[in-house]
Amino acid sequence: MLNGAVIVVIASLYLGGLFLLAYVSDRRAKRGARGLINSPVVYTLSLAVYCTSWTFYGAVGTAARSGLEFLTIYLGPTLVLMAWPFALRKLVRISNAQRITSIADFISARYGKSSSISVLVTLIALIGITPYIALQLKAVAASFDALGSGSGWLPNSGAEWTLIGDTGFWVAVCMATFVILFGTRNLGADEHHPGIVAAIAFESFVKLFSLGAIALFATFGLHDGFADLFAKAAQNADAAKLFSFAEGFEARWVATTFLSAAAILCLPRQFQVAVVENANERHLVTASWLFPLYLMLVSLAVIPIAISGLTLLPPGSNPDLFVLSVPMSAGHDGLALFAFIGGLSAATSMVIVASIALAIMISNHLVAPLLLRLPFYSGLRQGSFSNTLLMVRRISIVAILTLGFSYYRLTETSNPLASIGLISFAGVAQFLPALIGGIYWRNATKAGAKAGLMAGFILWGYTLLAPSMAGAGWAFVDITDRGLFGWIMLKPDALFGMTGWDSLVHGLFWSMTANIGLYVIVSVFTSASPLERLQSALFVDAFRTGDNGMEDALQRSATTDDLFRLTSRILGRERAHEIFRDYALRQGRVDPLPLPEPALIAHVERQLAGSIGAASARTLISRVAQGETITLDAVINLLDETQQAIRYSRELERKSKELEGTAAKLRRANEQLTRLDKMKDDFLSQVSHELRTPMTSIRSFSEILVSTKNLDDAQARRFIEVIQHESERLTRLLDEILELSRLENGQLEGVPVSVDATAVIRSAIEAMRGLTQGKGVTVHDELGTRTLMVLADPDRLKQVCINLLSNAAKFATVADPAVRISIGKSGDEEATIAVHFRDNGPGIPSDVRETLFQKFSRGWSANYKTDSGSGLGLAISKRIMLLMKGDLTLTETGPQGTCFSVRLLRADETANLPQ
Amino acid sequence: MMPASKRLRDLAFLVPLGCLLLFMPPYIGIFDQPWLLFGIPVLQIFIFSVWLAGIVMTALVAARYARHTGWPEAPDRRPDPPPENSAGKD
Repeated sequence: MLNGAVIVVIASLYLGGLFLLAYVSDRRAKRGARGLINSPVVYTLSLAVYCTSWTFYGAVGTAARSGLEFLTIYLGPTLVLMAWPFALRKLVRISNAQRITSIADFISARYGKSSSISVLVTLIALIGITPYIALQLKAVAASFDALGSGSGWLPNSGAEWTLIGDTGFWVAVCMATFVILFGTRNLGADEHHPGIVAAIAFESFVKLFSLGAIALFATFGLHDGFADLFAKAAQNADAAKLFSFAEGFEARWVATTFLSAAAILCLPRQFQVAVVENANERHLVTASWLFPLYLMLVSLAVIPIAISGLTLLPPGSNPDLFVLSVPMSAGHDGLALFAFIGGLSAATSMVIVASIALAIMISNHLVAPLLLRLPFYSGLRQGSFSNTLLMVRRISIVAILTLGFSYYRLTETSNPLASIGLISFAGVAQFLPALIGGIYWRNATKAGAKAGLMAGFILWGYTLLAPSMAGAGWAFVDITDRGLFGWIMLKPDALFGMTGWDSLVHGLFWSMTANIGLYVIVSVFTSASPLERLQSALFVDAFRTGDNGMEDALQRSATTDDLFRLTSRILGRERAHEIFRDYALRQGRVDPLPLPEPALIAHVERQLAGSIGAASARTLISRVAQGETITLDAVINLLDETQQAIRYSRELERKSKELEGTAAKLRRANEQLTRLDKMKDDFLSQVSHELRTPMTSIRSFSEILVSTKNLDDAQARRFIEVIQHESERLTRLLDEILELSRLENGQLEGVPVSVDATAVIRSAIEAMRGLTQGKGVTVHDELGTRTLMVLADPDRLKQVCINLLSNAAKFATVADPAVRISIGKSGDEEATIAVHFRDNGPGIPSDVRETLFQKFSRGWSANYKTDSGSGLGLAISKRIMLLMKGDLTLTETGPQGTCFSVRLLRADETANLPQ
Repeated sequence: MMPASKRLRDLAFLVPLGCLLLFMPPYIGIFDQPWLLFGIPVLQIFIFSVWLAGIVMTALVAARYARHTGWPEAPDRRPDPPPENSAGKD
């Protein structure tokens, strides 16, 4: 058992050390030496203000009472921190850009800098957090009594109460002093309190170390490691709860995880340390895993202490004090004292940050707007407002702690620690829809946020707070028992007849349903004011828009003089000088007073907002600046223009892609055209070359006829025959060129009709009989007896056949020339047939095969010299066949002979073919 | 293959989502069994293993994600140390 005086001395020394640490850190930060304070580890440890005495004592209590449920309080924040890129980072980014001072300021700034919303949020926070502060005072007082009397694990023994003898009172006084000293030193550029951050980071370290030491003692000092610990636990009915879940744990498990996840964002003190005090967004990267690790270690430490308390202490001991009573019962007073210091750290750090966060909210959102309405403060020429505001903060801190202390005295014997904490969590969780919706949902409106917050708050008060007060026996007992106006349907813990639910799940369900429902529905059915739309764009597009570029679009005008006077009244002369001098430098002016451009007004408003909140700053600025309402239309335009610009640039991007595609197509087309052009040139030069040969011969023979006088008749006649022959060739050549040109344009005079292919081919054989017999070529007709109906122009088909036969005759250079004409299948296609013209000629040279069907291919020109044959024949035949939807191909060639195949469309199949 | 930043963004989303699913019923109920592993209840082993795995994966992903992220200009917005002549205010 420890002497009360020893405890007081040690606790005082510890708190004194804390003051010293805060003082030194403040001094170092002022000198610009931010090395240690500005580190991600300190940031992470400052987040651990989350673990209050409710964790330190209460988590063990919850574990002992209801098993593993205590874990959810740490799982929720773990998940939120792991998902830091999606919520926390955006909150931090926006708060840095907008100089947000508190969660009330954040929500109000998002919804058009609405002062009514900031008042609402402040009131909810105040009502929700006061019991929580009371809880801390209660924990310190209870732990002190337990440690001092040595009877901490026995049920409370009543003693006569005096204010001076109340530990909670002294703790409250001590904390008020600390917060006033380090939280309200001056109105800085924003709400940064390096001294306080350093102190709570240190306290977080102490409480983890302390809890860990007791857990190790419980595991290895009181037991023989984990196996022994759990073996003992298995024999105890209460401790065995830690092995598995109770029946129907799901609803509460999900609800408390959700609450704790909401709390890490919405608790004013968490918003203060995680968002407002954040000095660098990058600190989140480390905190994203280090803070979950911290929470996991805390959770790990809870289990051995809870088991030890349940198995080793007499039944009926207060589980909320196991952390102290376990080492005390084993006679380790030093360790118990260390536990007490850990609990004190947990409680004081929460009280410090919660009271500073609440004081900022109260002074900025409740008191400042009222003061600025008073005649004394509304003028521009009166003295500094900053000192008044600091005084308001100090008074607020005292008031908050007085309120907390009164609450603690009033409900001293009521609920266990955990239930107060959870009701508190559910209260601030009402901010969640407006907060998260505000940074992701563009169309959320002020009216929606207000309706949601109001409805959630009322239902929270009715379903959770009122029954808790009724449980303590000092209010709302009647309503809780019989329902409002005696209507049983309105019973707070069984609203609309929903009985059998856990009261927390029930209250959370109704308050969140009403909150989210009204927030969404009212937002959808109301329209936002221009300022709301501007703020919505700034918040939702925080990662997209540049640095406040849009805000400067408010075309307001004010004199630099007025702005300066206003700034120096709120922030003090030095700070005002600094702001205006820096701005003038940015404008490139030598004169320390900047030009009164709209951007300056926006800048000044932001600076003021960093001290007194966005809503108040707006009110003040609107007193000295004119023209805002008219030009807010311009803001709408600007916003729309921005939207349009984004759309337009996307459109441009798409079009430029299209253009790229078109350019590529054009390039290909151009290449093709160039190739065709070259082909045309070649064609022309070849044509002229081919025409010149007969022309030359005609000219030379006619010249001979003209110039030679005594030419004998026979010779003259021979010459004239040559001339006639060459003229015929010339005509034929020109006819063919014309025909080819027509065919290339896709013209075919006759329409393809259904004809018997065998008849057409036989008539061609007949027509060529003279030529073939003259050359000694045998034509074998192997067409068979069947008729073969095809779709073709009979004259053209005959022309192709004649051409192929004449070619065969032309190249009949072997001993016994022959042509076989047969019908065959054309590949796999049922709709077509093939007619093969197979000769036993010498074959086509390989270098000619490629260009065989082109105009003036070398094969043709080479043999043209020796024969009066049909020149462009193969090229024309190929075109004809293609126009009849058939084809002419060279299927094989070589020393054994050559085979051309004519593919034809079957007439009886055409019905099935698409036209 | 997605660009690295997109993949990291997806991963940064998947890690907490995976942990959330495993921590919630019905998944968490799977390990609600009366067995002991090394003398420790399997339920506790499961919860703390998932927790630790989540922490390790977050640490790995966050560091890489941060490298692929555009950060604003040093957002240190604390006031500059006041000039000597005005230091007497507090």
